[in-house]
Amino acid sequence: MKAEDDVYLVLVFGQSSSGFGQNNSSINPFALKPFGITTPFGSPIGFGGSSTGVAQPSSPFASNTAFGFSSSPAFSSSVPSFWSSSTPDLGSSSSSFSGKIISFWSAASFGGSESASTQTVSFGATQPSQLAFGSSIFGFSAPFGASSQPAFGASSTPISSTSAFGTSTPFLFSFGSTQIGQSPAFGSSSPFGGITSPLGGQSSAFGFQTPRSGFGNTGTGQSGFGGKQRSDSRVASYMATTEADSCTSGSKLESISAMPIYKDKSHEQLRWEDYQLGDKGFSLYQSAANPFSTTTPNSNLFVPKSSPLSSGFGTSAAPAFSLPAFGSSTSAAEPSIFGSTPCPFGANSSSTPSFGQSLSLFNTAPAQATSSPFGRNIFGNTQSSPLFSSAAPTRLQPHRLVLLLDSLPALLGRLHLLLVNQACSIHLPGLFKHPMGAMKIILHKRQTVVTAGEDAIVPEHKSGVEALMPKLRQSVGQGLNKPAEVTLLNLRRFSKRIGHQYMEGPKIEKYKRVEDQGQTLQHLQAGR
Amino acid sequence: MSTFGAAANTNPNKSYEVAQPPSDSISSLCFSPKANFLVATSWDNQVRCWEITRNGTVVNSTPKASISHEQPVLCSAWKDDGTTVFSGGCDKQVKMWPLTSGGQPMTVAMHDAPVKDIAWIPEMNLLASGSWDKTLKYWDTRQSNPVHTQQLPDRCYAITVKHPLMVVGTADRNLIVFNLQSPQTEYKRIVSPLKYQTRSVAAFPDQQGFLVGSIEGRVGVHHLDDAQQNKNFTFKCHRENNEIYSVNSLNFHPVHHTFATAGSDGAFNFWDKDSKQRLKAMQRCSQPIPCSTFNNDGSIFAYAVCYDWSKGAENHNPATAKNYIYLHLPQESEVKGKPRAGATGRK
Repeated sequence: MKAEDDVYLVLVFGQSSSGFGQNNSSINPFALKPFGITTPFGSPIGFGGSSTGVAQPSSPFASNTAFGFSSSPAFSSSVPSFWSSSTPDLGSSSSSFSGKIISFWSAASFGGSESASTQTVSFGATQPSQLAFGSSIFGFSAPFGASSQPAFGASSTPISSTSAFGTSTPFLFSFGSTQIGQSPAFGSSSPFGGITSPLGGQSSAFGFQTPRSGFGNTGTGQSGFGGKQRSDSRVASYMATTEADSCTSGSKLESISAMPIYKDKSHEQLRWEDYQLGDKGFSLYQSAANPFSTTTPNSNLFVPKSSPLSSGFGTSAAPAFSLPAFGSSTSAAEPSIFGSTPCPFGANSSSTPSFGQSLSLFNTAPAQATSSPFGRNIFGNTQSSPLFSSAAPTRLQPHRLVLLLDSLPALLGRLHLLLVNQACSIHLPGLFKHPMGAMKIILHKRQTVVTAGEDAIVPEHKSGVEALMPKLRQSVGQGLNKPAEVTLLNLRRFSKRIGHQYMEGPKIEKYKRVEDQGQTLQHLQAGR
Repeated sequence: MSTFGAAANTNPNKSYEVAQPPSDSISSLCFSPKANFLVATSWDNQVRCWEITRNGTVVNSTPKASISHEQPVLCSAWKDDGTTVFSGGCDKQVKMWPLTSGGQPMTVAMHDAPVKDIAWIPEMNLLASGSWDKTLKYWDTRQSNPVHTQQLPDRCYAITVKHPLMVVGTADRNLIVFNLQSPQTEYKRIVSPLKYQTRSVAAFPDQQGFLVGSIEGRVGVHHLDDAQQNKNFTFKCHRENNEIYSVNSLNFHPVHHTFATAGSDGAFNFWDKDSKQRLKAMQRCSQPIPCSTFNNDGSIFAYAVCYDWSKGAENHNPATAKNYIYLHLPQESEVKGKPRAGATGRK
């Protein structure tokens, strides 16, 4: 049954001409019945709210109750109040149905009336009942303005009917300019403006109607909605939000819902709020900016900054130059109250340690360069060690002659050994040619005692004897700063021609004397 | 930013343009489940219907009908028989529009605040409507009262239904999962794995989980079974250098079960969640993509190119703004998932 009612309402609304006709017929009952309806609701509000002069505006407040709760429960609540008027003629079903229509239209009309009073400052001067009637006509045109553009032509009819009253001609002018200046969407915002204001008063009405729990729940939602202040995307200019967890990379969230001031709104919510204010974008920016800056001087200070911010954002398209530009934009944004300000600043300060690290990395390279010569020094030291280790080994055996040389300077010079009954000199020029421990001794003088190492063969030579002793090796580093020892062992004599060793004879006797007699050395001390 | 309002390339992917697009931004796109009828809702209070015909590789669009709401329209849904369209919007009501000749729209649902998303549930023969009044209501179109009203923690931002799975995304980043076999109770309430505002949700075709997209250019893949929590992951998308855009729309391909993402950067991409790969990245349009959809067999992908208020009102000039609806014929390689070779080897 209710569905059937809804269908009928839609049909009536669709046929605008028929609806208009019905509206004409319903004007007379409208003057009486809404008054009856408002009696139980309006009297406490009017009594507590204002004087008798304002009592008439308070009546629209009460009627808006029905309009404010456009859901089915609210709609059904108007029926009991209708029945409470206790008029026998209204008992019939058809009359009840037309009563519902009347309630609907009266609610819409009063909504427009409230909007008109909001727009016209001269409302106080127009107290006659004719104004109320004129407001009714004006309110009737508001839904038509919202329905579709063809209905816009129909809305001119109420204007002409309004001018027929004559007394509200200035009001007509004001309304006309408003209607023409804005798009039809503004027509839709007009009822909304009317709704918002009564909702404030409605909260007290809700308190009065506490017994109805279901009704109260719905009212709570409405009151909460009505209590919200204006918030659309013009409150603060759009600015890309830097992502919190990637300050270093400077990523930016390209969504207005990421801004702290808008984080509780989606794109569609912000757009719907803009549309309700008649704001559909850039074309209204200049006209909207003027009252915007007028109402809030701080925002006026901010408006010029939004342009350099946009310019800075455009500059960020160049990667090489973007970071400093963004930094300067951040400093420009610091005066604003945006919560995202410290984060970009953190990004800038975060990049400085990176540069510092780079500098530190540069400092490491000289350290390596420094360590490289140090390594060479070590290498050099290592190389110099074999020089000192070139010394003859010590072997203790009978029939040995140990010559102790002082040190390196001695090795580099020419030594003279004076043996008993013999004179000879030892020249060591080949010392450096055998750095790993081999020693070369050349004996070159007449009547020189032939010396030889272990298992070495020394041929006889009139002017000198040259001997190689390969077994004389010294461990690397052990001979450092120690005197060199030259040991002559197992002296033998061989004939160069025959190649056999002399066992007896005067030649061997020489060697025996040398070995048996004690040795006295000049410049050097030797021990047996 | 300079691309807004300029004569930039709005169709870099060479898609087919739909004839007579709306005069204001498009808020939702919806294909009929039976035939290639496309419905678009708009901020100019209109709901339009085109018939999409395909002749070889040429796609034609013929305007068929349109209805009006009193306020901008935000969402639309088709009945499963393909004869009726539901549309809801800022006039706080949902209208049922039978497309048979001469059909007049009828109000079937009412809310206390604008209706943000609706879904038709053929298994229950009910219409679900989510609103900014923090309620989710189920409606039998033959009654004027809702059969059930579910209270939500915050304003409804997105709804997705794959019977018996329903996921509702709310303004406080909650994701409420319902099992439609017992719709009065919340099956599970999950805090979004993404740190920013929820913008879109899509249920898996196999009802094992859902996708969630946010304004941070990130998509979360979430499984409902506790044993499959290790398969959950998020991935970044719709980013250009260091600019991060919203993920406005998530749609699953009806046949291959891969999905498409569309964002405020003007691009749409195809992804395979099982192999964690991006199958195709399309070129960026010069304007955001607020909504997109596949048709019933996945052969047509429709997306709208217009301003989505992602940068507020001052960055939009309605005098010079253009609104387009494009149709993309996806190649099989773009929408068919390909298993990752490495993953197969590891198994």
